[in-house]
Amino acid sequence: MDKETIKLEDQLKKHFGFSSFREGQKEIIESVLDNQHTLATLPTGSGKSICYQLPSLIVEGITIVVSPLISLMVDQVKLLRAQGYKRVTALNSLLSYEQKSKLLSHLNRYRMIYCSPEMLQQESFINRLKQLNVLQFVIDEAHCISQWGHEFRPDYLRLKDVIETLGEPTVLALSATATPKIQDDIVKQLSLNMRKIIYPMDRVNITYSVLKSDNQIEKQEQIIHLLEQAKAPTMIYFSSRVMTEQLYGLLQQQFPERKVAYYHGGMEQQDRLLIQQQFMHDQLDIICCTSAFGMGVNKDNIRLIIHYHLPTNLESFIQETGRAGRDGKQSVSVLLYTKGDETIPFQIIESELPDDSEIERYLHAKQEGINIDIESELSETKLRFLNYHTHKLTQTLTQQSEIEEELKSFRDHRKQLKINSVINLVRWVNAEDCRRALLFQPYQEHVRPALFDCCDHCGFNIHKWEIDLNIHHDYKQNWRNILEEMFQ
Amino acid sequence: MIHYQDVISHMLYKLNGERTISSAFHILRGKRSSQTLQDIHLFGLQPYYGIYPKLRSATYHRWIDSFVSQNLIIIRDESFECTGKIHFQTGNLRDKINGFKYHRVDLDWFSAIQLVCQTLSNIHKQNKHFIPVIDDVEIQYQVKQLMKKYRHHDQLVHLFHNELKSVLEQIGELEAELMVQQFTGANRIGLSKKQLADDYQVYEEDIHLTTMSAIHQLIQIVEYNTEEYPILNLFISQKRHQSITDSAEKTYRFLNNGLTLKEIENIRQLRPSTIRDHVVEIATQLEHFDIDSFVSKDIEEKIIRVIEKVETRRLKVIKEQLDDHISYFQIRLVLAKYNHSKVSVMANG
Ligand SMILES: Nc1ncnc2c1ncn2[C@@H]1O[C@H](COP(=O)(O)OP(=O)(O)OP(=O)(O)O)[C@@H](O)[C@H]1O
Ligand SMILES: [Mg+2]
Ligand SMILES: [Zn+2]
Repeated sequence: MDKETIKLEDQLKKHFGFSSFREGQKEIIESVLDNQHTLATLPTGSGKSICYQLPSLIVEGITIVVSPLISLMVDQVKLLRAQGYKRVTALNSLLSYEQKSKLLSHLNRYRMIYCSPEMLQQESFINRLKQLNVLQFVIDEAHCISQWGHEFRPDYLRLKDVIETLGEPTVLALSATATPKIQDDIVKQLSLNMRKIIYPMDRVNITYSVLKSDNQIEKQEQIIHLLEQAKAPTMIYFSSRVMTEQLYGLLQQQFPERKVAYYHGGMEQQDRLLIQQQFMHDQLDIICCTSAFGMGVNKDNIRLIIHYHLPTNLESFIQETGRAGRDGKQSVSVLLYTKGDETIPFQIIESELPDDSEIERYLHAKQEGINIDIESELSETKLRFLNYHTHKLTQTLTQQSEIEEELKSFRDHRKQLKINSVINLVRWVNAEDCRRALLFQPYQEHVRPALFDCCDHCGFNIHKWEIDLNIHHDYKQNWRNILEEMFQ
Repeated sequence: MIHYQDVISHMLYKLNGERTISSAFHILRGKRSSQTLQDIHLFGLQPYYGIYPKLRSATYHRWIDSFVSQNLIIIRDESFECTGKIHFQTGNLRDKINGFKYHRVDLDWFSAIQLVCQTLSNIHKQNKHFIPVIDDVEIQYQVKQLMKKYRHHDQLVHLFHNELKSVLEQIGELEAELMVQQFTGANRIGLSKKQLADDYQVYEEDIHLTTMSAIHQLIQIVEYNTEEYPILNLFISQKRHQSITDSAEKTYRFLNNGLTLKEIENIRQLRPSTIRDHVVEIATQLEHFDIDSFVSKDIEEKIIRVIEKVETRRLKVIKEQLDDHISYFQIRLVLAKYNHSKVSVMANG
């Protein structure tokens, strides 16, 4: 072992309390410290964050972390602060004008700055960053940069210019769901000379299975049966807030001895925080949630992930099941499918992109200079789509009708792509071959064998799977005892 | 437990026929408009002012719809009427909840206490890494100041625990229970109101209102016994309630400097009706404010006679009974004054 090696391990221990690196981490960190632009892939839950958090603690200068989800970055910042690292902050659209300007004027106090890609389009922020010493530029969930990615975010395409403006700091692009095609696209879009560190993205400790049913009642019976067998931390994903709450009610009735809760984007911020923390503290056994929960959740002992509804694509499915077994122990994914379930993702896709009339009204409002009304009417995703493409189109086209045509055809193209993803997912559900192989083949040439059970097509029988982590909740019920326990 | 239906029924009963259905909503949310501030004094609804700052309009309208469908109230064009079926149990609620007095301090105080509790419990258990359950940076700063002020944290833990125990003994058992269930410590994350509602099989709104009432009672105990509760008292914000809106406050200062309404309009570039609203607000809130320069004694008496005769506070009805030259503005001012005198008569005997 050379000197450098010892030092990195010491730093890991010192700052994060881990005694050794996990697969890939060290290679990526060394590459970044060597000032090489790097594109790296690692499976979900494998510890990609450390790959930039540790260098940022070692290198002088500022690290920018671009992250697509506000909740995700807020959680990361909180976690780092709780660990005692205070020189980290997040800039996002949730901040008020006042908070933002205050933060900008104190930006030099921070070493690690999380931000949304949209934030990097704001001149005040960029100008401030130019005055500072930005040495690392991290693009988390880098598949968002690619049109082929399920979560394509047009603003990610502008990162190339931002990087240039900032004098080309060392770029690290990270993803757990980047196919070779997407990897190439990332490099192309950033037009940088990047070193690729591609580790397999499959999750060897997760067992995949699908349970089919003829109707919703049967599906609910299946879920109850499943939870009777599996007494362990569980997440159940839903596509709608209403269903999330309904199933919560049902499960609470069915399992009075277990702690069940629900979580979705419609809840108050304070309640969301409490539920998330309760789950982290093993105070809850089962959580019914929408995809609003999850990305920031870093609980290491989740043993079972159930999908009550179909996600909109396989990548989301990989991300969501990726919450399981972050400690490396066996965990199970169960997707519940009733014929016709795909109508829900189709509806979601329909609602994510602007329809003809919305495109027309948007353009009209823009021409008249009265954007406010239409902007408040459209959802964030629709607006993002329209803003980006219109901005780009107006640079080459002047005719309003041409712009309109182009927007519509872009929209149709996007929609078709998304529809195909749902079809792919349904194909996966109905396939007869190894689910693990099918799921990860697009990402890597060789899919690794499972560490535990592989999938329901390779001999795993979910009905025979039992787990009892023997969780018992011993809550003090009298307020005097609660206080006593807190302070004695 | 305070049930939200009782609170709403009580409010609607008081406002019966005199105001639109949304006035109770504005009162609960603590709207800082002169109309709302007048209403709470006019109808004796001070306890409920601002006790539900996050109430959503959709939620409120769901309540109202259910009241209508149970035939407790009937909606009229501009107003509503209570039927004979409306009923409520408010008991000694007036002693237990005081939104008008505490709406500016209650929730911040509670958040601060929650954060102190979490912080001290974690310190006590020697756990440095925890995610604060309160995101508000202002409150986090205050709590940090406390930690600096008391260097001996072991002692602080002890003092805080004792203060908390002692103050909670003085409110109802159920209220103390609901309050502490929401607290977070080192090994235990507090419950949300929704979770408590499910545990107690009541509405989330009931938990919210009961918690607010507990907070008001605790703050009152603390502020009357500051020596006994130095730590709890630290977090009762000094930005005590101002009874008038900022804008009315400005108008009031100009009036005190001897400016006329017309002059104030010009300086402040506001519409005459806005300035008049301010004056009414001032008259409503400040008992000592003199309305003589706007209403002669003679006219004042005439208006009072009508108010007593028609037994309503509906401006239109009152105005119809008076000479045309008497303005709505004058009627509103007299109503504001009249209300004060009635309250003080009641207080005296
Ligand atoms: N070297 C290590 N030893 C032990 N635990 C580690 C190590 N590195 C990371 N972890 C832990 O692994 C968990 C997952 O880390 P992280 O959030 O960075 O994953 P990720 O790869 O970004 O996942 P995702 O793709 O889901 O975003 C965290 O709880 C982290 O503390
Ligand atoms: Mg990550
Ligand atoms: Zn298999």
